[in-house]
Amino acid sequence: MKFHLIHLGCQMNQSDAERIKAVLKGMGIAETDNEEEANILGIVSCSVRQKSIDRVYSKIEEWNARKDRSNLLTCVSGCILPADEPKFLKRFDLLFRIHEIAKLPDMIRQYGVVTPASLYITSQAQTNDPLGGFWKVEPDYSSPFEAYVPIQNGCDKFCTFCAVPYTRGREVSRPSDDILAEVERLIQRGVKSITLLGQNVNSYGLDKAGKEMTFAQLLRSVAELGRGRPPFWVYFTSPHPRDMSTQVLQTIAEHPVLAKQIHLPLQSGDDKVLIRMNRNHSMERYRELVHQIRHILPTATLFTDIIVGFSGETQEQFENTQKAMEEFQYNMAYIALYSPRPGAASSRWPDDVPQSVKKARLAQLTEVLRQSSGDYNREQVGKIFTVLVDGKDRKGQYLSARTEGKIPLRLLGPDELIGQFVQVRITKAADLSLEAELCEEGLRSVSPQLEAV
Amino acid sequence: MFRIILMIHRVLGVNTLSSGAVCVRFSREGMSFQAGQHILVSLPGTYVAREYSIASGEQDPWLEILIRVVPGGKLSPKLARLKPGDHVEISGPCGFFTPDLSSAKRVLVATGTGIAPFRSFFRSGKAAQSVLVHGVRQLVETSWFDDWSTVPYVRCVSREDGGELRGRVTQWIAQNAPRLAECEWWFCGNSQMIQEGWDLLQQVGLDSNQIHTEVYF
Repeated sequence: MKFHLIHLGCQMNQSDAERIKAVLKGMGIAETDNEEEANILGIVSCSVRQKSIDRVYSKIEEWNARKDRSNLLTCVSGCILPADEPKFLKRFDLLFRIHEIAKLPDMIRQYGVVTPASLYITSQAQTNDPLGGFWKVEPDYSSPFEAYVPIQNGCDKFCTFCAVPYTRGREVSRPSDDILAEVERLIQRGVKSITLLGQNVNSYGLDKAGKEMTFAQLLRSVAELGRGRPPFWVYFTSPHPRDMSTQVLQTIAEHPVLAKQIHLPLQSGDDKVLIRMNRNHSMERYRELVHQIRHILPTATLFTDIIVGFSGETQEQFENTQKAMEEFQYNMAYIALYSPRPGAASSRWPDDVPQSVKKARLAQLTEVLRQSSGDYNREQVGKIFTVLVDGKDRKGQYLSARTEGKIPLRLLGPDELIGQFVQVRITKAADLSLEAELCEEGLRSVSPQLEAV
Repeated sequence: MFRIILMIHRVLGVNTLSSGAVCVRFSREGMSFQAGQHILVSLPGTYVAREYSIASGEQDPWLEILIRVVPGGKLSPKLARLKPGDHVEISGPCGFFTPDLSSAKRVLVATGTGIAPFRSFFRSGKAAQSVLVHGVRQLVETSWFDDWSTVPYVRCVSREDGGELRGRVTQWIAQNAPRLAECEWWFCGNSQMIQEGWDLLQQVGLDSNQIHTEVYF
């Protein structure tokens, strides 16, 4: 008995998929990368883009066509718009919500799929937690040295371009005890990079104000777990500028284990577009935040998200985004062409910026990014960094790695370094990446906390 | 998929305000909220939800929303046909368009049903020293409520006489922004009005942190 699970979309979905895999493996069902040999086929769906939804429909048509020649059980979970739910129910054998994950073995058994191990699994009792047993499932982490830890689910921000509030519901903070226990287990396993995940991580705890930690307190507690332990870096994504606080930045500054890398979505550099996006902050507020970041965390790298060609975006408004990018000097920007997302409020507005204009704007912003990122990268040549080796590059010739600030780089070295911190000297800089060589002492495990660049 | 947590609320009444707008009153079902927040409303068994600002006060024993009926819309025409005793699904409250209890002077600018959150401000005692500026096409749309007798209320009516100003709210802003530059400005309604208002306030040097917006779509 084997399963094959596809996850679409963001890290939240990857994290959800890791928990689903853990449940299936707990039933004694093995994972396979080969769809053809799987008996259970599943998708963790994403509703952020129409392309992802189209892929779900395409996959299930393909899988259902196979049913006349093999016994298959198909299932779907993840971010699903209410309007898609009845359509998926007609096509998939099973549709389950992530908070129903503890019941998954029962659901599968009802289809006659019984494994020896699954006979010993009983569904968890109902709890008052709106996410049921979801948080309690020990995930099947995709990597031995990097892990995502969900700290929150849902979103209350209602940005007009986004459907997440309609698919994942209101913000619900995971109990801090659960989070700290999972982080502790990861530290014991020797994980080197932990990313705290949520749609708006820095509004963590606001749904249980007074009864739960704030995000700054949570970060501090996570950092305390790292005191005197083998080195690791802690990241978080993604924050909303509205809820980013000085306390969060100060906490990061005070604790070496908290990585000096900030992802601060801009989306647009024009106040009026921000209003239409319902971002609930002004450019002035964003600018103040960037100044705080530069002041409190002078070595931090800064990443962002930007949408070009949003409904009604004028040339002048786009140019304001371009100016903002020049001003804030990002190290990385995830720039997306606007496309109406089914279910999101802006899908009811005209998608009135021609595709050719969107592409041209994306190209212009990419140039600005290359300039700012390239300037930063060139300043790093000759410096020594501690980096985390995370794999091989595409051609397999080099090791790939990243700095604490998530700047990607490549270096030559033995495969045994994958998953390790090493010290390198930067030898070359490109616009979006670096090249490095191992320092003499690079082969021994190093502590990023002791690094002096 | 995490299911949005929905509560079933009973319709207590539907009041036709004009040919294109209704006010629907629901049972409160213990929901607490802050004036200025919104809720998601849908009909049981359907998959279409829309956000509506709460128009009632924090202490009112019911919830009220104002609905602009969009011809051919997926939900608003159905909501306008609700009858007392019918049920709706409500999720929330959500949103950050919420004033604090400070005594700051506020200018509240609305178009059409965008007046809903401001009505909640007033009914919740959170609009002391505020002036309300309401843009509508016809005078009948300003007679939706009887709460305004004690409130500085400027009616900007674009298609007929009878209001304090014959024209659009942006004309009023252009005339009055310089003398009200120390105030907090709160906008709710269509995005074009908000954007034009924003430009006018920037021209007189208002700090963007003085401006709060809630876009209707």
